[in-house]
Amino acid sequence: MDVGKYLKVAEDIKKGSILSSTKAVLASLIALRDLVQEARSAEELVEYYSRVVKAFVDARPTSAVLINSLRDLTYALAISLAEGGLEEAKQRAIEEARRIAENIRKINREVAIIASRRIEDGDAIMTFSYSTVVLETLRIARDRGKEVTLYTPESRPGGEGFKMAEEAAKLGLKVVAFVDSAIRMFMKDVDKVIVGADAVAANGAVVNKVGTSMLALAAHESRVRMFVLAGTLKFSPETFFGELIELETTELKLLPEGKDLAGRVKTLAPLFDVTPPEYIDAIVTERGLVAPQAVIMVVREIYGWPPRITTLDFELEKLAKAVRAG
Amino acid sequence: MRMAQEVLRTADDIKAMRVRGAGRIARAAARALAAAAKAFEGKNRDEFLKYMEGAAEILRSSRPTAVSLPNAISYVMFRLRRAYDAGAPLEDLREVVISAAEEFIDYSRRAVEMIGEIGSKFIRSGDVVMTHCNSSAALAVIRKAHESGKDIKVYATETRPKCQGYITTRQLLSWGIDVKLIPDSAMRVVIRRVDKVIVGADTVAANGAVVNKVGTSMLALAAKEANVPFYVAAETYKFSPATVLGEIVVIEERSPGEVVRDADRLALLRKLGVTIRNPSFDITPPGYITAIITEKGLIPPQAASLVLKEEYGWAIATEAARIFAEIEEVA
Repeated sequence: MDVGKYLKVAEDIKKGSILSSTKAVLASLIALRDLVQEARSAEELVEYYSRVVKAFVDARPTSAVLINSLRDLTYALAISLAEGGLEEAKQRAIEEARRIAENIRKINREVAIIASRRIEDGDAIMTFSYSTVVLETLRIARDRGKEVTLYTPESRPGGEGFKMAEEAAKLGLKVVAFVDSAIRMFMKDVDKVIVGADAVAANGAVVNKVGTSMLALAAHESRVRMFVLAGTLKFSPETFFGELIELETTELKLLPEGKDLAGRVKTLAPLFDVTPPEYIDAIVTERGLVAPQAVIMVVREIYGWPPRITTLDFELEKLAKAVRAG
Repeated sequence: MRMAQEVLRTADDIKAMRVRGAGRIARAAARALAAAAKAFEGKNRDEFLKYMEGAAEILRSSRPTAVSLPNAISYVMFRLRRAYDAGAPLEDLREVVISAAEEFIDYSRRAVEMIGEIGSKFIRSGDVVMTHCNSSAALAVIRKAHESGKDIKVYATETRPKCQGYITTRQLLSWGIDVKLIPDSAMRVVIRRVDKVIVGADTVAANGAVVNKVGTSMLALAAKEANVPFYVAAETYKFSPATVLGEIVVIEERSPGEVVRDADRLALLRKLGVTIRNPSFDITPPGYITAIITEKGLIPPQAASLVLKEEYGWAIATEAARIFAEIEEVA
């Protein structure tokens, strides 16, 4: 099996050429579905599948929706492989990948519908980085006749803010773009802050692209309300048992006038940061708005109490066992 | 009377940011005034005054925000006018301008050294210091602390859009100081590892608010939240006498091409109607500033008016008289 093309998808996610955690997880699901179809034996399936899953997690370890989705897919594969063998597993992979992807889209859409109701005609809204759900929210608000001005910072080191500016302008919104350090300066012109999330932790803290917590702090200082759009798939059940969400760092890619410094200077470029719950006015889930501190109640609704949840590693191990048993 | 080339070139260099940093701009303007005085070919002292006022105006309008520029020009022009009013002949006036300019340049250099001397006392061995943009005064503090044997580490922000953080980094590296470069978006993440912040200033207003490179107020807010002391290093010629009389500091807005570097993307965003804003400076409220380090000593930002009264009392009084007279006339 040519596993290279699947690892390439992971590479693209890591490099940031696939933007937003939603797009990253959808690409991962398609890749894994296709990989399973190519497998000529159960052993081959497990070997390559595990390798590529780990590559995806490594590419975006902060993304709760990625880890949650891959856990669900692996769970289904392990059961079908143990019960029905390779052919059954292939069939199941197609169905599960489709079900999970549809569920993600459905949840995003529901979140966007609820969030769009919070937008008022004439609002100036600041966002950060690139978010599929935020764009969907703005689109729905626009369709319902609300006029919105979107303020979007650059979002260094990735620069996803300019892509966001482009997409929002294509929706017909008025858009203002600027550098990250001007966030506080423009906050006084803004009515609301709306951002997406990579993960929501047990205490309601939100992990998102680096700079989000600065935006939240500036919003808090200016008494501008901050909404985080995060369907329940963005909740990270691991954190309920004390797992720390791993925050990636990268090398800061220097702009041309700093080329001489490359290799000579140490840089520190975290890709994500953590926004404390007290700066967040509400998290918008598909089940409605909740205070960040009440996230734990939504988790109870989904996973029971105490949360019955396994780790991705546990499911991968189960998958390997299914082969050994077969 | 043709304007001296030096004046036009200096104004152009300041505008294009080939000469940048509030201190360097001020010294360049003083140097240009001296050059203009030397180049004057007329025979008449009235004509000389008018010519010098013209030069002052060209230089003053080259950049709107940094007050060091008008202060440097006022320093020289005030002495010229005083001598003119006293009836000094042309050659004496020329001499007054040249020596006032030299005096200012010398003073400005010594001020940075003094600030380094005073400010470095606030830095302890083992401290992690963070700075933003590229400030001679702030770097003088860091350099002096390093030279006096203190073990310090520095975080320098990249400072988009123009990346003056690279210049800071180069300087720190050349002095053998341990420096790490971070993107501006990581300020709040990194502030937890920092013991002190020190930045420069373009302008200090009468209430102690500090106008400096955009992002400074963001860093000050993050420092406040994390309870990290926030120092501003500023020579007294960065204090703005005009703000005492209610003048608002104009925040310069520069070209969108600095923000979106990629020409194709810029063209696309413009075609789509995206507004690209590029304010060069922001305003840090006095409440976020632990102290301002000047060459005359440390002051709480709220005591900016003390510096203004001491250093510019005469200028403020003259200007106030002019404004009041103008308004009375209209009434």
